[in-house]
Amino acid sequence: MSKEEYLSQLRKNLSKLPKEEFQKAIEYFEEYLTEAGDENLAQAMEDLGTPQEAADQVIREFATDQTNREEAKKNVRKGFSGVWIVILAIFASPIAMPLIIAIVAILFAILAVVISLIFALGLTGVALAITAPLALAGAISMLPYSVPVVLVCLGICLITLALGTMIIYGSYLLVRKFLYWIMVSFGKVFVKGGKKNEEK
Amino acid sequence: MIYPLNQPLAELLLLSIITQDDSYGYSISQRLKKVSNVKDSALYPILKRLSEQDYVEIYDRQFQGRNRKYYKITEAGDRHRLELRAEWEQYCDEISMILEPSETVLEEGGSRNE
Repeated sequence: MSKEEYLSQLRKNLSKLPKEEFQKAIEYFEEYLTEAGDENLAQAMEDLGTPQEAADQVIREFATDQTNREEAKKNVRKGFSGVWIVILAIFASPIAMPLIIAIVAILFAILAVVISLIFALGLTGVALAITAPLALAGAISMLPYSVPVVLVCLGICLITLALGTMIIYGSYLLVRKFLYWIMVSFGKVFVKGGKKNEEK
Repeated sequence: MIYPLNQPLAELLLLSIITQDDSYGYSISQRLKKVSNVKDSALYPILKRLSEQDYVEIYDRQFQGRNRKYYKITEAGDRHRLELRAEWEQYCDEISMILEPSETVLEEGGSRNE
């Protein structure tokens, strides 16, 4: 292998490094091989190891150094980096991805169903509540004709009013509880993700 | 060389080499080669870390038309070297005591292996 071939392979292996790190490393090894001179070139390349081995040394050092710096910054980005690592790990797997998509779709479907049910409940309450004034109007209109009917209509008015407001208030409470539960669950996912990152 | 060159020892040797005179990468690794059982490419991360910790300064100097990066020890680097040196001396003493027990120990235990 020639010096140029060695360096070219080394550049390829180190290409993932940030520009400054890459530059410094290549400069070092280029200088090293140049210093060896033509007569010692083969020995020098053997001493350094293969371009892959040499690159591994640099990358390993860079990776462990980066981990230390990330640990220091972690308090700022705790929850998020945990979740992103989980998400990226999931996307890295070819089997898990469609599975995850299916699960998310199902979760969304369940969410939609629950929301619709609560909405329907609320509407029922509204419908009942609207019936109340209508029943009242009916009662008033029947006044000249039949007192028992008036009483029935008044009764209906009161019942629908009571039921309606109870159901509306009940569905409002349900919505609030549901939203709170969603926020807590998501909060747990973020915290768990962050903890996973810490355990690493 | 079957005995591995560990991180602290490599640092100590490197710092000691450049204490006497500033030196450049290739020259340093040629000296370390004799006691190292790892590839010389392992020297680069050590130099890099020492530089990041400000134990070592790097500067350029031209030689025969090419550029050399010289490594120079700093004051902090020298203090670190002395710490490592003290640790190493103690380590060597302990090793010696195991390899060659002192006269008093032999007398107490009687002549077993002699």
